[in-house]
Amino acid sequence: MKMGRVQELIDAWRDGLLTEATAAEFSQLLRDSDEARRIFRAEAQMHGLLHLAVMAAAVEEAASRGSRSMTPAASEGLERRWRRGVRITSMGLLAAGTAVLVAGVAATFIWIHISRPQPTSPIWLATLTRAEACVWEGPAQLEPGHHLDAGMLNLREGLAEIEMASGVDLLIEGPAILELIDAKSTVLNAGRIVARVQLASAVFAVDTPRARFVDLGTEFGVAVDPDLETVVQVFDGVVVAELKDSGPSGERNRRLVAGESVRIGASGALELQRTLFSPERFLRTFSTPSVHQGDELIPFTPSRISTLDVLPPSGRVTVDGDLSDWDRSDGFEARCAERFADSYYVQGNMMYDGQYLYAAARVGDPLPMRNAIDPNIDPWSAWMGGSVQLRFSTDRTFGWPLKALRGAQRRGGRDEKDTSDRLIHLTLWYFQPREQACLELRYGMDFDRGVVNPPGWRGAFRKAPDGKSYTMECAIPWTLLGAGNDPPRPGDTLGVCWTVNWSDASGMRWKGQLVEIKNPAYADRGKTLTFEVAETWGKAVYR
Amino acid sequence: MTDSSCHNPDDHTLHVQQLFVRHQQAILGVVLSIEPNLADAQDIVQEVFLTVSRKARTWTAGTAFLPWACTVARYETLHFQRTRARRPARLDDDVIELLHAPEAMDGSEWQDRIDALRRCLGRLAPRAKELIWRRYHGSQMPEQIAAGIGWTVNAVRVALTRARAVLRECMERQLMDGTEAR
Repeated sequence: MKMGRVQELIDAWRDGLLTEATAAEFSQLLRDSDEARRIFRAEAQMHGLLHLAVMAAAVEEAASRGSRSMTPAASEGLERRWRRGVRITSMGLLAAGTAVLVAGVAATFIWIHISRPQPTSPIWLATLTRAEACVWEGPAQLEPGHHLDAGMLNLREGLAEIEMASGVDLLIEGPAILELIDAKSTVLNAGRIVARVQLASAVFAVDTPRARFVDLGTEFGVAVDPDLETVVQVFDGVVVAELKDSGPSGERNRRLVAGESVRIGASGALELQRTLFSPERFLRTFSTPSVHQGDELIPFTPSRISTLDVLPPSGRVTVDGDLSDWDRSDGFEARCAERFADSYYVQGNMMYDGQYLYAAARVGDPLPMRNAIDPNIDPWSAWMGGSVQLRFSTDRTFGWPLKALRGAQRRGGRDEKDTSDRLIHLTLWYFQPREQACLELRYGMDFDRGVVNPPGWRGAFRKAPDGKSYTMECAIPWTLLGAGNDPPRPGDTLGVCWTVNWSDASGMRWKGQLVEIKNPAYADRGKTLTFEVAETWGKAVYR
Repeated sequence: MTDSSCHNPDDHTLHVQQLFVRHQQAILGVVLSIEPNLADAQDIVQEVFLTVSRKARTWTAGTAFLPWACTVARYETLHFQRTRARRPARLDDDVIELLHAPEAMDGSEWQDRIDALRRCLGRLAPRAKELIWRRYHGSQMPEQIAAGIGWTVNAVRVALTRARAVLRECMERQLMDGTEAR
């Protein structure tokens, strides 16, 4: 027996590449050979163990990241909570079993159990325990120590922690709209929360427009996007997800365990889809206020620039983060609103030749190059940790303004432009833990195709000596931008838009952004989002 | 491993479900050793849970739970592969039976192996760790990994094989030593 062939067949089995012929060959080989069976058993078991070990490592990493981003005083408080949580989780098997029973046998049990009013000793439902940079919608600005009754909480900005009378902690990341129903249930209409159930006796439910999530003795995050797309991610324990409407598969309930995450799509056809577990998706702790230099979200700034000239380079471009080989005079400069103008700004340039698109920026950032979002784990969220984003077209037939829309914005059918590989969304960031320049490319307005750190691109970041800004430089081949055979030519006017994102000291929490090079018709309309409506983009004039 | 008895039928079912929760990692691991696709394996575990709940009475309290649950998992996996699997071809049923005799490993052994492997992951060289992470956390196939890092598919396969061998050796050494060997 050839061991090399056994290994090939094991690889094919593991990667789902067995054909009928190779499956038959492999089956026969395994029947005939003890040694082949021994090897395959070991490899198959290793495959299962590796999935479980990596899953466990991801959860562990998420927990340690949370604790790393705390001040000593804050982490002291959290340490107590984690100890409690760990003890209770291990004590809470009975409760977890009940959750599973509910999931599998009678989901209605939970509905009844939760909705029946339970007498609670305090007359209030919850207490606001901590608040960071919070701006609340409504007449009263809530402060830590305030007791809360049933009703709506509309957190426009900031991060708030609420302790429910039932022993559940909620971390609410603004903007969020949350309704407290009773001590054991809430409705999340928009935004993100992380719920941590601290008492074994507590059952806690989070309702969203698309689904209800019920947990026991666990920690999980729920996010509801403006288009009602919903993501739930379990950090610890067991959660039961119940769809309000069953999807095409007829599936309504799903039991989720630590390390799992599902997305419930925004379209009419609801379907549970597994999504990549990402430790960074939810903010699970307070960040360190003492490190902040800008404590507030940077307000939306109207666009002032509608056109960017894109010129050929005068000589060879070396991608090293040193912009001295760039003629910066044809670029643009944009600054955040007055209070932040000195610290938060971008000076951007673009160039091109027959092979590459070049982009360079100097970004004012008091906390530069701290992005902690791993390109291998959650590139989709990388923009939040501090990034430069470019959106542009490479197809001259699309003209300007560019009429292309994301799915949620379409009234009629899908236009060919909407899904074109020549509409590009590009996110550049510096992944600090590996000191790595990163690029994510997404194609079309639906963001359903993309690549991360593809071969052929070059990028470099460099921090300024004073630590208050950084430079970014990149060269991306036209082949990656849908225009390998037909790059832009002099005289082309194509859509383009720049966004710069800033994060807090953790490199994970988005603090604000600046959007520039916009269609003048949308200069003041911050609510029409550039990643949804390409008509908002300004002009790139190739010279 | 043995477990204590419960006399009330509802209590018995609840008890079985509690044991399922306790052993769910081992059950997922067993399913993955037959059905290597993680998404399919997780769907199968959902089915196993429902079947175990339905058949709770057929498990006798006081006897080992995990081998019984793994037998259910094996049949559910075969059923799934026959009826719902996304892949076009699979190993013959008799071969699966031959390969996966009743599971002898108990839950704590599974957990020991996972813990050891998790520690070994931390010691892996950065590039090898990235490959393992992409394959097992990002669920990327070698073709996708190759495109992502600019290697050939064959180079990715070889590097993954090496990384697995290193991890297996590390895991076995740790289990043999009985120490964490940090």
